Order: sequence, then C-alpha cells, then structure tokens
Amino acid sequence: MPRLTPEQVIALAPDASAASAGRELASPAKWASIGENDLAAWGEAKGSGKNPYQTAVDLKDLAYKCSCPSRKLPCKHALGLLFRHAKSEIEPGTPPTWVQDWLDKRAERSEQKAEKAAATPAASPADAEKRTEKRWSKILAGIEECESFLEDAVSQGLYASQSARSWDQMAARMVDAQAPGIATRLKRIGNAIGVGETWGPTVAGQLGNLTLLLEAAKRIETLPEGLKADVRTAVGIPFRKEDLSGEPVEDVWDVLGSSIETEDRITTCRSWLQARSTGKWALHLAFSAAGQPFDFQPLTGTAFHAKAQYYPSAYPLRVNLTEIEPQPFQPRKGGLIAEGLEFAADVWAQNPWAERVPIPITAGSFGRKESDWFVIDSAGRALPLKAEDPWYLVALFGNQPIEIVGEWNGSSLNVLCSSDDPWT
Amino acid sequence: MKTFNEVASVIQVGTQRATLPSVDFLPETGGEKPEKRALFLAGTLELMRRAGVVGIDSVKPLPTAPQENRRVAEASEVPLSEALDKKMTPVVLEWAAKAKQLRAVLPPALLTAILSLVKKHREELLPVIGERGLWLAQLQGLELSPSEDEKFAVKRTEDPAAYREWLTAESEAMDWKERLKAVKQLQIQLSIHDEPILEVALKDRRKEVREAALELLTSQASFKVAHELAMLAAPILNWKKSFLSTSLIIEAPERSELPKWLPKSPEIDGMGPKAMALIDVVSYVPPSTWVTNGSREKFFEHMSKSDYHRAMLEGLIVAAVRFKDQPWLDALYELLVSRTDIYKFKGRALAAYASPEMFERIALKGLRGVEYQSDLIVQMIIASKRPLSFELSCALIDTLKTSSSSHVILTFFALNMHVDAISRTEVPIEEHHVFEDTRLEVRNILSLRKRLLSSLDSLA
Repeated sequence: MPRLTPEQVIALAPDASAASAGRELASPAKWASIGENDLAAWGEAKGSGKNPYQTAVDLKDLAYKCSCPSRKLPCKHALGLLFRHAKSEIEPGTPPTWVQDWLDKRAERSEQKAEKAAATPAASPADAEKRTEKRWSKILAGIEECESFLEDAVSQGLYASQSARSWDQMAARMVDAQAPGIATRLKRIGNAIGVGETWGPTVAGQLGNLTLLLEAAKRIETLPEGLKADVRTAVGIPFRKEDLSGEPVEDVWDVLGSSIETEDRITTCRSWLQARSTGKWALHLAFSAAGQPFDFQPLTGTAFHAKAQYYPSAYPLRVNLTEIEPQPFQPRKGGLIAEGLEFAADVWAQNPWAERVPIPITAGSFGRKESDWFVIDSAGRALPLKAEDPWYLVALFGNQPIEIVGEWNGSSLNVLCSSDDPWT
Repeated sequence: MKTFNEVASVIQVGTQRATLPSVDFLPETGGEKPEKRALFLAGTLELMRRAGVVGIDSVKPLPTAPQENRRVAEASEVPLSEALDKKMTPVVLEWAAKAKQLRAVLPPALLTAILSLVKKHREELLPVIGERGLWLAQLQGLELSPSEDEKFAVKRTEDPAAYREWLTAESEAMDWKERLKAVKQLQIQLSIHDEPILEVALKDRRKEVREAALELLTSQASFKVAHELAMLAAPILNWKKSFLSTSLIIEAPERSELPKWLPKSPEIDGMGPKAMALIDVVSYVPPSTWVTNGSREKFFEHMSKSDYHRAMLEGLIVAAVRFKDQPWLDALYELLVSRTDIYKFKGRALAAYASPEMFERIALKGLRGVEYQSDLIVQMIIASKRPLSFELSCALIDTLKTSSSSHVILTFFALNMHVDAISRTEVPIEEHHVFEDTRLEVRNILSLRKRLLSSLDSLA
C-alpha cells in the first residue's frame, strides 16, 4: 500500500476529536519508542498511566491494535502513529515481540478463514432453496402488515402519525420478519417526519419508494433476474461474496471519493472507484460493527489493480474486490452535470432502489441562491449541495473552477472530494 | 413536480381529508383505496422526478478570489490548524505577529476557522488573512473595514490642524463614543495648538470625554491645566529638616479646594475624603514632581511614616502608569513586591509595566527562593501577561518538581515561555504522574509554538 498522506489519516479518524487528538500525538515527545517496517508501524505512547500504551497498525490492511481503553477505532494513539508514518518520521526497525505476535495471529486467522471457507461444503441447492422459501414466506407476512401500517398512516395523514415510536415498532416487526432493509427504511421515514422545512415531499417520496419495493417483493418471481436481485438486496437479504458468480472485471481502479456513515451502530465506508481502462464505475462497501476495523478501506486519491466482481443487479455497481495490488493514482477529468444526471437517470430507470449515484464534475464552482448552496459546472448548470457548509472549499480554492466528485441522491449532491489540479 | 408535490400534500394531511389529484399520464395503480393509490403515485412520481432532474440555470457562481500578492505560509498549515483545533488563540496570535513581519499570509484552508477570530483580534489577524481572506470575509458579510479609531488616527496623522478644525466643526453632531475616540486621537502630535479644543472637551457633558481631555492636558507641562495641577501639588509635601533628621509631612488637600474638572477616584476602603482628594491630585501629577533631589527609596522611607502614605502610594501608582515614568514604575514595583506585609498583592497592578530587567530580576529571585514569596511572584508573572525570557521560563519549569498545584499555572505560562525552554522539559519526572503530565503538557505547547514559529523560517 502506498504511504498514506496526512489528509488520508484524517479521513480514517472516527470523529474530529480523535483526528485532533491523533495529530497531537504525532509529536515525537509523546512516544517512548517507535518503529516501522513494510508491514506495520508500532510504538509505545506515553499516557497518563505508569506504563505506555502499546500501539500497532497493520499498514497492509489498515488494522489497529492498542492497549489503551478507548473504544474508538482507530484510537488517537493509532492515528498519532499513522500521522508520523505519513510524514515519514518513523525510523525502520524490527517489530518487537508484541507486534510480531499480533501480526502472526492476524496472518494465522486470515489463513484459517480462507481454509474454513474452502472446506465448508456448499449447501445443496435444494436446501438453500428451501431456506430461502421459508424466509421469504416470513417476509411476505411482514410485508402485508407493513402495507396496512403505511395505508393507515397515509389515510390519517403524516401530521397525525408523527410519533417516531410507532415507525420504530413497525421497523422492529420487520426485523422479526427477517427484512432488515425494510426496517431501516421505516426507521428513516419515522425519523424524518416533521424534521426540516421540506420534510413533506421527502417523506412522501421515501414512502412511495418503499411501497414500490413492497409491491415488487410480492411479485418477485415475475421480475427479471437483475431487478429480482435488487429487490432482494433492498429487502435485506444480501448476497454473500461466495455466491458471486459473474466474470470478474480486472483493471486498475482509481478511488475517486469515499464517505463514512454510521447507522444502527454499523459504520459503512462507501468508496466510488472507476476502472481506468473503461471508465466503469464501481461501489465498494466496507462495514464495521462496534468499532471493529474495516476489512479493506480504499482511500480517496489511491489506486490499485484488482479483480472486481459485481454483485447482481439490474444496474450492477457494487463490487467485491480481490487480488488487490497498489498502483499510482491517476487523476482524471470529470464531466458536465447534465452527463452525470443522465447516468443517474439510467441507473434509477433500471434500479429504483439505488440510493446514490456518483457524479464527477469538471470545472465546478460554487454559488448561492438565497441560503441554498449549489455546485455549478462550466455550462452554467447547477445542482443543490447537501446542507453542509461549503465555505471551506470556497476558501480553499478561491472559487476557481475545480474537479469535484459527489454523490447525487436525486435531491442534493454530497461533495466527496475536490481538487484544484487539472485531472488529465 | 407540481403533481408530486400535490400528492405529497395529500399524504401529509391524509386521504381522509384531501383528494388526490388526477394523474392522466400514469395508468391506474394501487387499486381503489385512495391511500394505496397515493403511495403508488408518490413512488412513481418521485422516481420520475429524481430521474428527471436536469439542474437549474439561474444560479450565478460566487466571484473568484483575487490574486494573492503576498507569500502563503504553506508550511504553517498543520501546526496552525492544530493550534486552532485546540483553541490556543494566543499561539495563533504569536504566529500572526511573526507572519505580519514577514508579510506572509495564512494558508487558505484555515481561513474559515480564522475568520471567526478576526472580529475579536482584528488588529493582529487582519494583516495575515491576505487578499483571499478579505474576499471571503466580504462574501460572508463580515465587517472588516477600518475602525473609527483607525480612521481618526489616519486623519490626525495626515494633518493635525485640519483634524482640529474638523473636530471643532463636527463634535456637536457626534455621539459621545465618537467624541471620545476623536478626542483621544489628539494624542498624535499633541501640541499647544490643541489646548483650546481640549479645554472645550474638558467641559463635555460626558465624564469619559472629560477624562480623556484631562489625560492629554496633564501630559505636557506647557498646558495651563498641567500648570494648575502642579500648583495644587506644590504644598502637599513638606520636608522638615532638623539638626539630626529629616521628616516628611504630607498635607492632603480638601476636596473643595480642587477644581471641578478633576475627576474623583473610585472609593477605596479605609480612605477618608482628604486622602481621596490627595489621590485625585497625585494621580494627575508627573511622579518626578515629588523627588527633585535624593533617592526615591529615601522618599518612600519618609513617606511610609506619614498617615497619608497609602493614599500617596495609590496616587503614585496611577501617575507612574499614566506618565509612563519607567524609573518610578520600577521603583514602585520593587517597593510593592518587597513589602507584601503592607501592600499585599498590589504589585500586580505594575507587573506589566516594570522594565524587563527589573521584572526578571525580582521574578528569578522569587522563584529561586532567594527573596520574595514565590507564590506572590507567580501571581506577578500571571498578571504581567508578558513574554518570558529563556532564563525565567527555565526557572518556572524547574518549579514543577516542587509544586503540585502548578499544572494549570504552568500550562498557562507555557503560552508565554521562551520556546527554547523546551530543552528544560526533556527529563521525565518519574516519581509523580501528575507532574509528569504537566511536563508533557508544557512540552507539547512549547513544541507546537516552536513548530509554528519555525514554519515561517523559510519565508524569512
């Protein structure tokens, strides 16, 4: 993996205070000992206790170990270590026993996992089908309840059903019915009712989209394979990596933008990659629960050669990556907003449940209309920005036209990254 | 979009109360129940809306930033952002002072963070935000134009006579705050020609304006007011010489003997009307008036025997600061610090004014336990808010091993210590964790300051 930049280390921080504390710990005075090799960086961070905290980072997979009591991942000590690594301030050395033991255990676990996966006999198609049928009948029962709940809510009006609790209760019922995807959508709707000035159309749209999903789920057998997969995924029955059967796409993938979000105690890292030879988009999702590290977290501004296997969908975007080998990043030119919107329309026409679509904009600048912010392309076309303060970007680039990559959800663009260098 | 919003409204108020619009361009979906149909329509129309967004053309981009003429202190970005994150404003201001000297400006990534500080620290930060900072402030609607004080100062500097004319003509139309600012600027190139206008101001209806005028009228011996005060002061000290000794008798004036324009000092516990009148006069007379021959130390010795010694001292402290009389400031500071039995912590008032040599000499003696009380000295150092020399900084760090209450104080001092004193923080204090934490904290602050200041070295 190429050496991280300080900006990438900041992006790894679980929150701003951890980033700040990590930066503070990048001072040499904070470390009793420190070292690194190609695989890991390690150090003993001086804390308030008698003994220093033993901190190590697996530089290949970005996994962390620290003896401090913090539950944040990476903790400030690991971030401090990474900051020093990013600034090439760590002298090469031989890992001490406690680091080597940890690395050995990680390698052992990884091998065991691979062996287990290889040794586990695949369930017979008949058994798998039986299980899916059983689960699906539970889901259908849940869907029936959910439909009458939604109809009641719409009959009375959302003003009358503003209690998030009733939506949470329905969501819990859908978890029991083994449809966690539907449960998540119900919770989001419950939390959005009455919030902000434009909640009415937003929630109506979400309700409508959910209704289409419920209807599609009831008729899943009649749907084409791709859409069937999208309904299944949206309902909450994900495909396992092992079940992916399509031909992998082998290419160099540039990481053009990523974001980290936490919902229901699950942290998701969404990274948009683009194949260098074809320009094909791919979405890599990494999940982490209870502060555990991501298995693999592609960082914006990095690139790697990999085999990407697309998950089944009417418009496949999500990928599983294997055989990852770092490569130098190659910046590229974006496009006009109109082109990005055309791509988005194409995705949604085929998969109405795709939530967000990447839009790269070349020569983008920022503008305001009343209190709303917009990104504007070189053709003068504008898209609203996610309600976030873009003053930082305006200050940084002096509102000179820049390359922007954002995620478009149909209502607002969330800027993932921007650059003032021409992406050639 | 209009139809979608109509459907959304129906969903908000409920299909029991509102009727769905007819949507001819979509097939009948959702069956006969209106709520079901509303949900289907919302889903379909929202999808059409989402996929049909084309963006808008009516938004104009913000203007682009002007070219930056000065050098950008790129290397300062990381340490400066650390200082801003930790809300260490004094450290940021220290950096700004050096950057201003080097005509360097802030890295643009920090502008939004720094603009929130500019209003409060305008003088220090405005010179380092550069063209882009000014541009951004204008976009954000931040008022950064020169203050009235600055405008008046420029006017006065350019042409003192024209300023006088302008002030005479305009002062009636000004509110008292403006008048006060305008009168204060007469200090620039103050001359006998300003006397008439200051005498008018001495009769102003606002006390603040009268005091500002008096301040200036007493600052030069050639002014009538200064002369009148000197006449009032003349009978106060009476030296009685006998064959064996000399004694000092202080005669305090009656308040009724004093001119009306002489303001009354704030009441002090235990001081009677005559003592207060004495303070009023002494505080507006140059301290050098009182000792024409002989030493100040002798004068203090004689003064201490008088009933009015406290009142005299109060007046002298104010006068020494007012007339910026350095020998008197030093002498009074030494007196106050050495006689805490009488004057307690009164020296704090002069800690910021004592000369560096005097301040350092006393502080070092105090910290090393040679003379003076060390807790008193620590109070003086805090009150002085002055940058500390290398030697004094080291002496302060050395106190760490002996005082368990020094964490807050020392980390506060670290903002004013000489950055090279970081060398004194190298040795861990293994026997006590609290002291060790303080050492690390002080070291971190000094290290950050050092990194910040040296980040500008390449621009020097």
